[in-house]
Amino acid sequence: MSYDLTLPLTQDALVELSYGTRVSITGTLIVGGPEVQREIVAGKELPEGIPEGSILVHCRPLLVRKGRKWAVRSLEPDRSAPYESAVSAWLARRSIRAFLGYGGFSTEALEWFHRLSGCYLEAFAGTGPVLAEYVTSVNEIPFAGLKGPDALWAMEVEEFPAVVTMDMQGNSLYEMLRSGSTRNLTALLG
Amino acid sequence: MADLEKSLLELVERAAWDLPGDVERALRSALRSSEEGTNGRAALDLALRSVDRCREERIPLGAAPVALIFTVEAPAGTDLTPFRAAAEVAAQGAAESGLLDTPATDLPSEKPRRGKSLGLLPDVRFLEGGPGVRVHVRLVSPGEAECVRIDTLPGPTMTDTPSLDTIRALVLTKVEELQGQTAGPGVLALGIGGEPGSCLAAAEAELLRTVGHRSPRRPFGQWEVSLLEDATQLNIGPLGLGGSPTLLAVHAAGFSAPRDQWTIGMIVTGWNFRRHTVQLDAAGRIKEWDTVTGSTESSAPSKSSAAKKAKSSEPAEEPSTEPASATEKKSTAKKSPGKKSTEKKSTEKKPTAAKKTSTKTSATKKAPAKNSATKKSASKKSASKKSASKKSATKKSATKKSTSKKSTSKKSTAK
Repeated sequence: MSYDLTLPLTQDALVELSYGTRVSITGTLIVGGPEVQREIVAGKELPEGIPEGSILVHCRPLLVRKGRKWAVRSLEPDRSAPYESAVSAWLARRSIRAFLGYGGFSTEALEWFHRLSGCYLEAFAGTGPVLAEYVTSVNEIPFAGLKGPDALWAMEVEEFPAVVTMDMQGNSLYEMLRSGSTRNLTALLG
Repeated sequence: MADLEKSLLELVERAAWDLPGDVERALRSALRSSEEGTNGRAALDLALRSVDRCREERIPLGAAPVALIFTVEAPAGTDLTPFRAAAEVAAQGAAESGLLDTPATDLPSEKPRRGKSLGLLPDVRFLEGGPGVRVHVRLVSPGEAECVRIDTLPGPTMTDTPSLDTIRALVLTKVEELQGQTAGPGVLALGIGGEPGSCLAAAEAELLRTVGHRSPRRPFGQWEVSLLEDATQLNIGPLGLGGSPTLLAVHAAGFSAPRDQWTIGMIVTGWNFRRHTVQLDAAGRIKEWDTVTGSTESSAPSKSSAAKKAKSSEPAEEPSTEPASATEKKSTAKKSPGKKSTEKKSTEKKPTAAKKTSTKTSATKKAPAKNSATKKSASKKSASKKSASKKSATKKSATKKSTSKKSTSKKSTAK
């Protein structure tokens, strides 16, 4: 069972998203990979036209041309840790309110999520081709001259699956599970 | 030479989109035994749907690899010179076909590589074996290998010889530390000895073993089983989302080391553990695929709907616990890369048109997702934490419609 989540995210929706919750996302995801990250970190002005309350997916998608349009063959999420340095910049701008990748951010990011209203969602690593099935259309967002898989993309999705793992109340599913596994480890090692 | 290059390219390409049968069987077994309604089960379900899709469409399974490792098994005296060059050509060919599209940086120029250029030289290793020549390839995912030096860690002093118990403690500690970073459940391979390079090489060789087959060497056989059970009890779960399993298998090998210098080479793969094996003839052409697929079909995977209908609903067989060597001779029934019989597809449906209901909101609560948590006091803790966070949340009406907002946002999205 999961929550239906319609984009763009409202403040009320962010409040309702608690860690551990599975969601089905419908709306426009913003997708950007390492090159987008590099430009943001280098101080490039954030692109216009991203609606407030969007989710940024850490991903360098596998795309194919179909006539004049693009189609996505795989939407494989990246590990999000390398993208952490741009989180506060995105949140402060208020266009991006949530991030989607895998592995989460450090506990420092919880502070930003709490202060600036944001959250993190985990996509299922390794399932890029199936995640691509949830995409109904793909449009490029001009940014920093980036092209192809390195560019910034707006992708319409329907019922895209993810799990909330870090919420705006400062809770982290990773920390919760880690404290459990640490206890289990201590018990195992006597 | 051209035949060898073509064979190795075909091997790499297949490894990119076709999850080996032994890994798939282990994943299906994990799905069957996982708890209903948990995030871990949802992850496994989606993973297996990906396996089917990638096989049908020949799309790369998982993230682009950071390395290719070829292992050539051949009788002593075989001329192995052509393999390295052929492997490099194969790697480049796979990159150009889009299967291994990895942006990379050239050293020492430090210039980024653009376009379809692999930028990675494959590693080619050789093992004495035979008869005939077998070539394995493994696509290495990011963040896989670790080395733990025992003399640098708290624990036994340098005058003690580590026991399997000591090593078990260190390995479990490392597995616990890595949780959520390795896209598990995968295979934990261990090489235990005196020097990091050879320990990692030994661990790499253990990844060629069929998943779940025990080491024939005492005392590793039973030790592997108990270490796997211990890892399950950590409750890290698929993708670190809790539950079980944490690992699909543990494969270990060890050799002697000086008393004061022990090293554990560890490789923890993700669930999309990509490797394949072929047997070559004298001309370097593929004679047969040695992958343990369990398939009885002789045709290559096709995109046709007929192929989809041909999928069996029989459950995949359980992994064997028969002892086998790390470089075992796998089943050599003459099969081309065929579509395996698979379990019935998951109950989670492909996306259809968005359900239009009168109560669709930006966060419509259907039912709380069951969060897989440790089956101890942590589960109570999480429940109380959740209710606490819910109490602090502003309670607003959940019936606020957002369709008008959605259409506004669609218009404003840059094209």
